[in-house]
Amino acid sequence: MDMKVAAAAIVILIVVVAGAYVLMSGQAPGAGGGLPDKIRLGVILPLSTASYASAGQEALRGMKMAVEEINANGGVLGKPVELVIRDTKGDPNTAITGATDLITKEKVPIIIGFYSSTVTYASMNAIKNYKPLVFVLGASSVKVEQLVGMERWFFHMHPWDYHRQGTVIDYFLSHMKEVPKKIFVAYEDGVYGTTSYEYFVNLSREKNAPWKVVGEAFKTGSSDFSSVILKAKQENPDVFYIVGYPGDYPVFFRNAKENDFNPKLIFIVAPEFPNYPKDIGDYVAGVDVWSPYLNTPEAKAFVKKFESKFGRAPEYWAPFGYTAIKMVVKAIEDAKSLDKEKLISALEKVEIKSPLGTVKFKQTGRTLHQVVDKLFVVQWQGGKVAILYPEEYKTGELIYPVPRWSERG
Amino acid sequence: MQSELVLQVVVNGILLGGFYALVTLGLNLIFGVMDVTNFAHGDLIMLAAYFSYWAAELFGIDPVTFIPVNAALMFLVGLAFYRAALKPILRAPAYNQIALTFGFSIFLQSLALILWTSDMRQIEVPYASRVLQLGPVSVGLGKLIAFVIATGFTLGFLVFLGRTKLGGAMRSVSQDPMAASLMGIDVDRIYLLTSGIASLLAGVAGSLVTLNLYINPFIGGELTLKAFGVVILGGMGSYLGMIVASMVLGLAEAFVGAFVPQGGSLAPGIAFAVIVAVLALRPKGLFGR
Repeated sequence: MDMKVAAAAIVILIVVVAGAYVLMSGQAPGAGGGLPDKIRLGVILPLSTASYASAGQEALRGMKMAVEEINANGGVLGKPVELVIRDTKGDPNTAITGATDLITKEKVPIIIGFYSSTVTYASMNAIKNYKPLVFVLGASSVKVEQLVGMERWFFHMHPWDYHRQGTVIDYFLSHMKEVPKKIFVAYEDGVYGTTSYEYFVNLSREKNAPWKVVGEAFKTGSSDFSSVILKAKQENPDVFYIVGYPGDYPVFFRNAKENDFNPKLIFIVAPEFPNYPKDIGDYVAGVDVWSPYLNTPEAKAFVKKFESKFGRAPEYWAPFGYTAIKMVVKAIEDAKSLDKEKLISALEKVEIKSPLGTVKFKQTGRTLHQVVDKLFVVQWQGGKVAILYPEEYKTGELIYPVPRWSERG
Repeated sequence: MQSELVLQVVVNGILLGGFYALVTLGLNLIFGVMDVTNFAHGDLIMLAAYFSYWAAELFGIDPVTFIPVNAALMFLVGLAFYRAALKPILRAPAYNQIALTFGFSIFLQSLALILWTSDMRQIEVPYASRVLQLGPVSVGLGKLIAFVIATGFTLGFLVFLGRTKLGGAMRSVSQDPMAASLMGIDVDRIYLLTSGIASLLAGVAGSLVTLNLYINPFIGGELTLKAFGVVILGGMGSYLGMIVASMVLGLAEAFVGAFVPQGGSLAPGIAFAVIVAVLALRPKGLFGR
């Protein structure tokens, strides 16, 4: 065969394949007007292997509760909702494979989920060329925010670091009777802990906070943090602030008690996550995106239903998953279509009452679609949670300084 | 203050080391007698920790009181493990043995995940979080109990190995199974009992884990890794080496964590750096044969 003919044939072939690809990728299922028999929503969460798989499973419980309710009421647009689930195992590569699979093979109209900034960053980086519609539940590192920027396909539930650290600093500065003079921050050495720490330091400086900050990194999942505690004890801080994962905290409390470390306050992220043993978990305060002790009808109804199903109070990932599904399904109902552009427009207008409060997507100035931008400060008091901040949800006062370990019963 | 801190760090390191010794003992035993590296050892400890957790949760049994029952249960698990998994691969190439025990480790994790979910669980043992003040040093009662029991079982086992007929038989088999068999020792039975005893020791360690730590299906991985490090550092199959290496590992972690900036994040890695350094100087480990 003539070389020129061969070259021309190859060029034509490439054009045809690329053209077909462009046409097909623009064509979400149902875009032609007809809806599929089932509304299949992509879900990707850490469900096994990872130390934080319990968060993924909790989110999935919430999602399934929402789907059950929706399907019991006739589904959406007359079709039942179904979840197509992939497990990230907390591993970036597995997450990328799962997400790509949901986009290219399962062709779901939206992917809901993701947890851990490290995994989410890698996944968004890998799939951003597909411009898939994603609703990310977790990931609080601004590195993820910077990566996606003003992309219209990106929706986000969890507050970003600066929301959380902004809440913490605002609380320490303006809502404590005695502003702390020294804060020791122990942070896990992954993306989440490191960026949280940087934000805490930078925001403290921006707001001219009077305290001195001392930081120390630790490896999440370790069975002993005595060394970090001993270092903190040397510094004698007013507040000992730990930025870690749920499993780390009970170990820290235990080690603090063993080494007789008595800061005026131990402050953590997401204090309502596990049921900390009362003898070491009481008086611990922290910043949380949600509280099952929230006093709204939607929150109370959700907590009651969850408790009757699972025999315990939900952790915040459950209402996250639940609310995400409700928001997406409401958008599908409004859009009357699974077409990506129509769904994006509908999602941008969604506003519903949920266990998280009245939720909608807001611009942050750096991204377009953010749900939670305000957090709570709470404290365990006598085995119960008192909400200390914001003022409108307040149910108690901060106990400060907390009793020394030796003074507790 | 600085000397008090050093003292506290030493105590923390020794407490940690004592626990590492017990965790390592079962791994070392199976390696010494059968020449098999059991990568599922940490997961056997995880399994035992769940037994202890459920005994406390369902029947209110204290984890220390439960140790004999847990040890007996895990002894049976060890016998079954030998019959089902170890026996067929005793003469297989080392790679196959690794694949099998590694696979068994993943199997146990998945099983635990299905049965008990990945929720973090912790027993409330009020006395375990009590603290003893010994002069300038404070010690968690839970850790002290774990250390005393771990050391008791470790030393008790070494006496058993050195002084009893069965222990002697185990040592003979570990030195030369063929010769032991010619001398009338039932090698298969010794292997069976070795697996049972190694698992029994994992049972004790599992009970002690619930005394101090939260548990989930994945805690075994870190324990196996630590135990593996200790066995290599101490010299494969050496018990004296194992005890010294456990202490070295515990103290190295405690010191690096407390005195090196950002050491809390470095400690787990530095411990293995110590292992690399020791092996560079003594390729067979501290007390390797």
